Amino acid sequence: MDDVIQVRGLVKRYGPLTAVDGISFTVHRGEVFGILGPNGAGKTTTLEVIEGLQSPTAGETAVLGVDTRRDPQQVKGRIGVQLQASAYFDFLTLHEILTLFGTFYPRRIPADELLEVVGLADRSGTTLKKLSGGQKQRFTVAASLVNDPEVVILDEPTTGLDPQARHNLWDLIRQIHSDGRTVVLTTHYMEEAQALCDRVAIMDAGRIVALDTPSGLLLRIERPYSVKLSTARELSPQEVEALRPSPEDELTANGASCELRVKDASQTMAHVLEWASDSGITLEHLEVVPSTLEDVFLELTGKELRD
Amino acid sequence: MLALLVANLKIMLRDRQALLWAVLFPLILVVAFGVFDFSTLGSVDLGVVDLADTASSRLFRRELVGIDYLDVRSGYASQADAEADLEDRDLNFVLVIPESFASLEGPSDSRDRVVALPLLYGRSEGPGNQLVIDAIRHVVDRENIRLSGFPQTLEVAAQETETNRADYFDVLLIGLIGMGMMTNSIIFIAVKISMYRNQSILKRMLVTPLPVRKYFASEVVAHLLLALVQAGVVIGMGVLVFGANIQGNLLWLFVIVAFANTIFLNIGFIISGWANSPRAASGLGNVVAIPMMFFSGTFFPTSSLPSFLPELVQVLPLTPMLDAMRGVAIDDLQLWDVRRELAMLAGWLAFSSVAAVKLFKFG
Repeated sequence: MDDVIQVRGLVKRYGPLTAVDGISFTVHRGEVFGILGPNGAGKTTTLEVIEGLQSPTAGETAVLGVDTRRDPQQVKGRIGVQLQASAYFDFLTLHEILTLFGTFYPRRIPADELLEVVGLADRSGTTLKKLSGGQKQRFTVAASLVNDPEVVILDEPTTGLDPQARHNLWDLIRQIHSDGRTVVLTTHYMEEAQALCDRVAIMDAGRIVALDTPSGLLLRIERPYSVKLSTARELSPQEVEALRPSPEDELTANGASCELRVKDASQTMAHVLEWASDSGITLEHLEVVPSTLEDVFLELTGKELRD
Repeated sequence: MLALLVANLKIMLRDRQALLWAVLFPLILVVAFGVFDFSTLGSVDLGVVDLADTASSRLFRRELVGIDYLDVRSGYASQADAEADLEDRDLNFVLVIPESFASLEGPSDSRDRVVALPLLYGRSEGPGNQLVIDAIRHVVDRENIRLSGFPQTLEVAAQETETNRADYFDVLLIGLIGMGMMTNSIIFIAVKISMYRNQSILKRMLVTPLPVRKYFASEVVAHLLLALVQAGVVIGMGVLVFGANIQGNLLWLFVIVAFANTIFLNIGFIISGWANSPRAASGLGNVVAIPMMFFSGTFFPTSSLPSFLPELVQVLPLTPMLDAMRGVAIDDLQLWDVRRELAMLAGWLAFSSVAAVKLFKFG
C-alpha cells in the first residue's frame, strides 16, 4: 500500500504559540483519513502546511512523493482543497466560478459535470449567496474536485450544517472516495469520523494522541460499554453495591438510575437481570451503549471533545 | 490570465452599485462645477451713501455703475441705513461720499487737502474683496486725474487672445478625472482585497497553482480599463454638455491615466495589507485620498497653498499626474514635454510596486 501523504516531525509555531508539536503520520492511497480534535488542536494548521499554504517551522511534508516545501505548485496542481469557511466571488455564477477555477489547472473537469456530481446542476446559473448552507458546502466540495485531484482535503466540511445536510454531505464524500480518490478530512464530530473514516488521528494541543481505525481506537478503551438502567424505586446503598458485576467495573448511581461502565456487555446484562430478579426490583429501562470516539478522546486526553 | 481578467470585469460590471458610484461620483462634481460660470465673478452689491449729492458726486456714481460686476444701489439717506443693510448681508460693500466731496468743485485753494471715501465691507466676502476695492480705487484715480485737470496719458488696452482658451472649468475637469480615478483605485482595491482576504477568497486562490503575479496583473488590468472608461465618460460629459475646451492629445491623456492609475492601485494594495477589515480599508483609503485630492491641485492651484506646502505637495503622486494631464490636454504638450512629471510618476510606480509586494498579505 503506497502512501500519498507523508508527514514527518512537523512543527509549526506562531511566536510563542506552538500550533503543531512534532507530529508524524502517513495517509495511504485510497483511504478516508480523518483528523479528529477540538478547535485549536492544530488540525487546520497541519492541513495548511500539507497544502503548501504555510511553511513548517520544522519537519517535512510530502504529497504524492513531492516535497511540499520544494515544489508547492506541483502539489497544489494535484490536490483538491476545501478550506474551512472559504467564500467565492459574489457576482459570478456557480458555473462561472468552477470554469474560472478550472483554468488555473492543466487538467480539469467540466463545470456541468461537477455540478451534476454534487446535485447542483439545476442551480448552475445562480450565485453562491442564493444557496442554502448545505448547498454551499456541496458547491465548495465541487470546487475542490475541479482539477480531478488524486487527493481531496476537506477541512471541517460539515461544520454548521443541520443533520440532514450533514448526511447528504457524508454521502457525497463516500461517492468521491468510491471514485478512487484519497480523502483527508478534519472534523470535531466523532460520529462523522466514525461513519466516514478508514483511519483516524486524534489530535489535541498540537499532538497526535492516537492513530488507528475507529474500531481499533475503541478497543483502546478499558471499559468500552456503558449499561444504563433505571428502576421503579430508589435503590438502597446495599442494592447498588450488589449491582456491581466485579470490583474493577465502574458504577455511578443517582436515585433510581444507574450506569455501569464495563468490559463485557453480555455478561453484565445477565448479571443485571439476575440482580433485579433476586432483589424483586422492577426495571423500567435497560440499555447497552457502546463507547464512541468521544469516549476515546475523553479517556486519552481527560477532556471533552467539544470543550 | 485572460479568464481571470474576464471574470474580474464581469464582477465589476455586475456590482452595479459600485460601478455606478465609480462613474457617477466624478460626474456629479462635473455637473456641480459645470453649472457655474467661472468667467465672471458674479455680482457684488455696493450701497452708495451720497452725502455730498453734487454734480461731481453724481458723475462719480455713474462711473461706479459702469463696472460690470457691481450692482450699485444709491438713495441711502444716511450711512446708518446702508450699514444696516450691510449687517443684514443685503449689501456686500458700502461706499460713503462725504459732504466734503462738494469742496472738490470749488477753487483749488478752498478744497480740503484729501477727501477720504469710507468703504465698508464684511470679512466673509473672501478673496473677491480685493478685486472690488481695486476696481473702486481705479474709479477714484480717474476722478483724481479729472479733478486735477491733467490729461490721461496711459491706458490699458485689454484684449482676449486665442493662444490659450482654457478657463477654470477646463482645468478643473482634468482635476476631476484625476481625483475620480485616484479615489476609485485606492479605495475600491483596498476594500475589495480586504474583503477577499476576510472571506478567505485570496487563500482559496492560493491553494491553486495560479501564479500570484497573474492574479495581481488581472486585478490591475481590470481596474485600468475601468479608469479609462471613467476618464472617457467624464471628458465626454465635460466637453459635450458643458463645453469644456480640451484641445490637447487625448491619447497622451489616457496614457498618463493608465500609468498613474497603476500607482494608485499599488497604494490600494498596500492599504489592504495594513487594514484588518474592509471598513478599516475604506477609512484608511479615505485618509490617504482626501488630503491628496485637496493638496494636489484638483480644485485650485498648489501655488495658493501656504508656506512650504507648495513644494511638499509636488512629491505626492497626484500632483505630477495632474500637471502632466493638464499639460497634454490643455496646453497641447507632448509626452516628452512633461518628462519631469512622468519621471516622478515612474519613481512612484517603482516605489509603490516594491512596497505593495512587500506589504501585501494573503491571509
